[in-house]
Amino acid sequence: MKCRKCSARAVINMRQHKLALCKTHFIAWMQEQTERFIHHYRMFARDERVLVAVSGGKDSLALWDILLTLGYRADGLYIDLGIDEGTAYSETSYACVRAFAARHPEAVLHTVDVAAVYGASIPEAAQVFHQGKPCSTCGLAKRHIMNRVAGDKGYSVLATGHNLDDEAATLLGNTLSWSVEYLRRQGPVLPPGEAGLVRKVKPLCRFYERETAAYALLRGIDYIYDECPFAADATSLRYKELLNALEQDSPGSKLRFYLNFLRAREQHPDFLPDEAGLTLHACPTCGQATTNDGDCTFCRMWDRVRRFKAQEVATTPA
Amino acid sequence: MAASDSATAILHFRHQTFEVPAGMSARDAIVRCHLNPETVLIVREGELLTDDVQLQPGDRIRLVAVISGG
Repeated sequence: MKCRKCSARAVINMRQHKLALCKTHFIAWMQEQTERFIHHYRMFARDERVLVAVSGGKDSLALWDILLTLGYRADGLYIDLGIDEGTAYSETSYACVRAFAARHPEAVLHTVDVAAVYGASIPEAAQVFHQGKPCSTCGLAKRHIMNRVAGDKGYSVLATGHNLDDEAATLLGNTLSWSVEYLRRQGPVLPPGEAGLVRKVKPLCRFYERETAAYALLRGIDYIYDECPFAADATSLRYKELLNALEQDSPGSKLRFYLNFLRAREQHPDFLPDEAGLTLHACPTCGQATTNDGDCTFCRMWDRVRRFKAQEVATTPA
Repeated sequence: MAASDSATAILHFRHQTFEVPAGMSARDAIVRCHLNPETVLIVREGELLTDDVQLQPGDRIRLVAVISGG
């Protein structure tokens, strides 16, 4: 198969676009398209400082690479979740992030070690708070920490590496359960809220996961290939599998599903976020926005974890 | 799985190895291994390939899983 633009050997065929490209033109296409999406969805301006949440995976590192190549002032935030499970998952992912950052002295890498700052790793906290798989605890902690660091360090925008497969899987899940409030809030841009919520953007939301992986490989970005050990049975992976089964027989199914949803959001006001119906308060402990009357869920979680650990120490025989 | 002979190609996917007849397209080979071509990238000797590439005898292909998340 030949590159549509130069007739060199193609490295990727994007069936949903009927577009095959060589290495050089694919890399350029990814960067140009990202720039186009940033403008199209009014994600951020040239002079804004962007904080990229990096996990060590292909998507977030590809995003950081693209933004830096495009000349944006993009710094990274890595959250060390303390996930090991015999796979050294957090250690390996942090090594990938550090290696990337070392190649980009123009950018700053911020790191938050959850266990060092809050007193327990995410799997430890989940044992106390959610009493099961740590995915809910992890999501809660990441959302809180990302917003706090962005606010504290003066970034107006927080960018995440969500790709189209992520968004389509979330959309499928929210549609299957008719989670109207989540559907209202799902989009390429989540506007800044009151009480210090920063704008959240997803510049890669229209790229298939194959494309972000291909970009990372072709750019020589060393990313963590392995799944989070807790993600093995995740529902979102099941949804991705279903969507990819559709895609295999009908190229473009995933893209149409997501883009038609975005169009529907624009055309039907019922889909727009109901900000008026959401009353936010500042958490008395951390100051971040919460719908709770007292402490936010994040602060409640750590309070419970610390009390549990203190009790454990008190009851452990000397 | 048995070691390859000159008429076959080997596909590596995560911790699995598949042996397929040479001469078929990479896409057909992936489907034959009960994998979805939408969920992998095809790498031969460090080069990314499109899935219409015809597998050559003795080829060793790495299939890179692209699906992540939780």
